[in-house]
Amino acid sequence: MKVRLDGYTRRGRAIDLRDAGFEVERIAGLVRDPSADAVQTPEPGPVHPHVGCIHPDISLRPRRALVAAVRSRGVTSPHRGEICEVMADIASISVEAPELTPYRRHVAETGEDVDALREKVARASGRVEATRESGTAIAQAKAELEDAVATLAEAETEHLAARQELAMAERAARRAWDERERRLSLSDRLDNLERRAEAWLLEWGRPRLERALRSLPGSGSTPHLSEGPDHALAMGIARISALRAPVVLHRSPFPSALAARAALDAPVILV
Amino acid sequence: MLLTIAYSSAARQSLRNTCNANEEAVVRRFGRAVLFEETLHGALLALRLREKHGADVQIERTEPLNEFRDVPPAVRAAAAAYEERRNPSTSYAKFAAGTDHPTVEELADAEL
Repeated sequence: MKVRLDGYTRRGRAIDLRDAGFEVERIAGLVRDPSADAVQTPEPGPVHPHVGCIHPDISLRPRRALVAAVRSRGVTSPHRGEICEVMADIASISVEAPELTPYRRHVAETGEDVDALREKVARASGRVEATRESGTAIAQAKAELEDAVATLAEAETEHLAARQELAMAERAARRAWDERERRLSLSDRLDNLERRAEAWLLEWGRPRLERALRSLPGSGSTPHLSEGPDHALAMGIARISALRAPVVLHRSPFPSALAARAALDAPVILV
Repeated sequence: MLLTIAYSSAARQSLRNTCNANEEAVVRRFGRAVLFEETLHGALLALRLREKHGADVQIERTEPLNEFRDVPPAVRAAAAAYEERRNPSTSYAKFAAGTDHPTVEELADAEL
């Protein structure tokens, strides 16, 4: 670990910058930034967002933080194998379905054409009836009727074809819905397994966290996972985590960086 | 009525929210499906879900079945006779064999 910032240069796994008066968020931000040259540290892992920067006003999500801490030690729940299987099942499901919208639109449009043409045929047929007596007009009316009937027949054929195409597409869509249904029930199962895995990891971590909290300089009363204080919990969680990137501490109870490093069992930067 | 079915967690959540906010348009709720009223409002709600979730939402138009109008008498008679059968473990296929009642195959091939 190396810090070279505003004229201050420090090295090692326990760095004290308290005399430099840096903003704690600035240092924490530089630790998070892998491209920052001023603060060179190993890359922060999944616990770091929870306890990478500890100060008296820290707001912690204790359960998530504890689960991440336990995971950082390479502990896996007995549900892990099943979780992987369900994830693989979900990934293997293909839910590709035909887009039904154009088929539905085509059926509706050809249906409207048929309706309009039926009315046209009825009107043409009415004119043939009305012009029965007069010789020249009747030929024209009959021609119009024949024309309308032929157009109607074409439109009906198209409408029928459109309905058949929609029915076929709907059958394919139903198969895809079956697959979607299967995917949904698998993802419900996955959520359930993950909740159980987290509960298991929490139970694994809880006694270790309690031990860690007892070993840390406390605030008098014993911190509690659901009651805090978050500041003490965060230090306990840092202690039981396997951390490679440093924990940035502001207004910590430790007299020196070395003491903080020993207590948290992690690289530290005091700010 | 408009039967609207959700096929993803996100669509299921939207369906629940829609139902909670529009109870007057809901005829009946199932786990991840709902029957909306056959009104333009029901159609709007169903279409909004489809717009948001695409193929993760299925919409079907349903109506109550009037068996006296829609179902041939032979089928109604077969249903009634089968429910009166002596042996409860007899399948319909066995029950219909050798009687005037339609076979499963005949029924399956005929559209309602």
